[in-house]
Amino acid sequence: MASSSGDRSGGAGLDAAALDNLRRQGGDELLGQLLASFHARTPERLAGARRALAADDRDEALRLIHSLKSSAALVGAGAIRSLARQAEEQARAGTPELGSALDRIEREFAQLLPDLTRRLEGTPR
Amino acid sequence: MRVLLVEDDPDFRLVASHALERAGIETVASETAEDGLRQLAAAEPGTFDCILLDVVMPGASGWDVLLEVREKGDEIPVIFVTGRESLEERVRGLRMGADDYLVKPVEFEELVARIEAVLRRRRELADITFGDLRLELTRRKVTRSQKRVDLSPREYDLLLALARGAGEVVSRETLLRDVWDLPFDPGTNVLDVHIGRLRKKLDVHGPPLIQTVRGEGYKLVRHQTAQS
Repeated sequence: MASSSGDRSGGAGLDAAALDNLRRQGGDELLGQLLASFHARTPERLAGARRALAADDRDEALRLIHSLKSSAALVGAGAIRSLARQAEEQARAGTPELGSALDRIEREFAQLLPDLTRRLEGTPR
Repeated sequence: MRVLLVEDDPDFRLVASHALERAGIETVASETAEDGLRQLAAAEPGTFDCILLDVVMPGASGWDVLLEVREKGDEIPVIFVTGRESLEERVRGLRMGADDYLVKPVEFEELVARIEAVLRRRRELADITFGDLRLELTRRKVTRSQKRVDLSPREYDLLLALARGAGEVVSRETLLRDVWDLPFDPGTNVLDVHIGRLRKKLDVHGPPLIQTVRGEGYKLVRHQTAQS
């Protein structure tokens, strides 16, 4: 079983403290809705950011990366949050390439999926 | 209490609304900066006690909302709740006139406490109007029937303590404690002397304002501004 500190470091699990914070606000039902939304929206946001980059719309790509960062922070997906933050910082520092940051976020999301799916199966929606 | 939450992330809106409702705070949500400004423009003054404002949204940003609100002279408390976390952005938000700046992820209990703290600070500095009497707390300026009343610092503090009573009796003990920092009644007439001076200055501009409640303390009596 992953420890709380292990969760916090990111890796392949969601941060237990962040999930408790959400559960306190609206119980397992709210938590289930938020996890389901993260599960559905993350691939949509990644795809949207890729489309924006392909269309040379860097501002829209950055906005979607910012959304990825915020939603990852909400459900305690620490590694995705860190990667999105890095991408934002690099973009501000003038790094032109954002596609590889999206690749890394996508890989991290794939690693997170087993934990996310397991938690989703255990919560009402 | 009612807040306007301007936030494009539906998940954050959902959980924030739950958290605020648990704390007895009604939430009205806007998905975009433009919609937030529309809601503010359409609402009666005082409808919202506070705005919770994201920065990055499709279309206009949270910066734009704050700028427009303040340019209109609206001093409604604004708290940024955003993923924009750099020092420059936090300083920018506060210098633009935000009352607080919280970086996501937030602990929702802390968000509620921050809202309460901001509103408490505002209340402590809000102008007080009681009938024809007005105290501007940030400037320590007093007017009665729109005429300036010059008070010494002690007289001002005494009047403020009475005005905060809003027409209720304020006990001698409370006045001695709040104005002179005395934990007990020293048995001198220092309070009565200052009340006498206040009456002399205030009652030039209207009927007697401070009423003695024998054995208890003093209270303000409400009078409407005299028609000029």
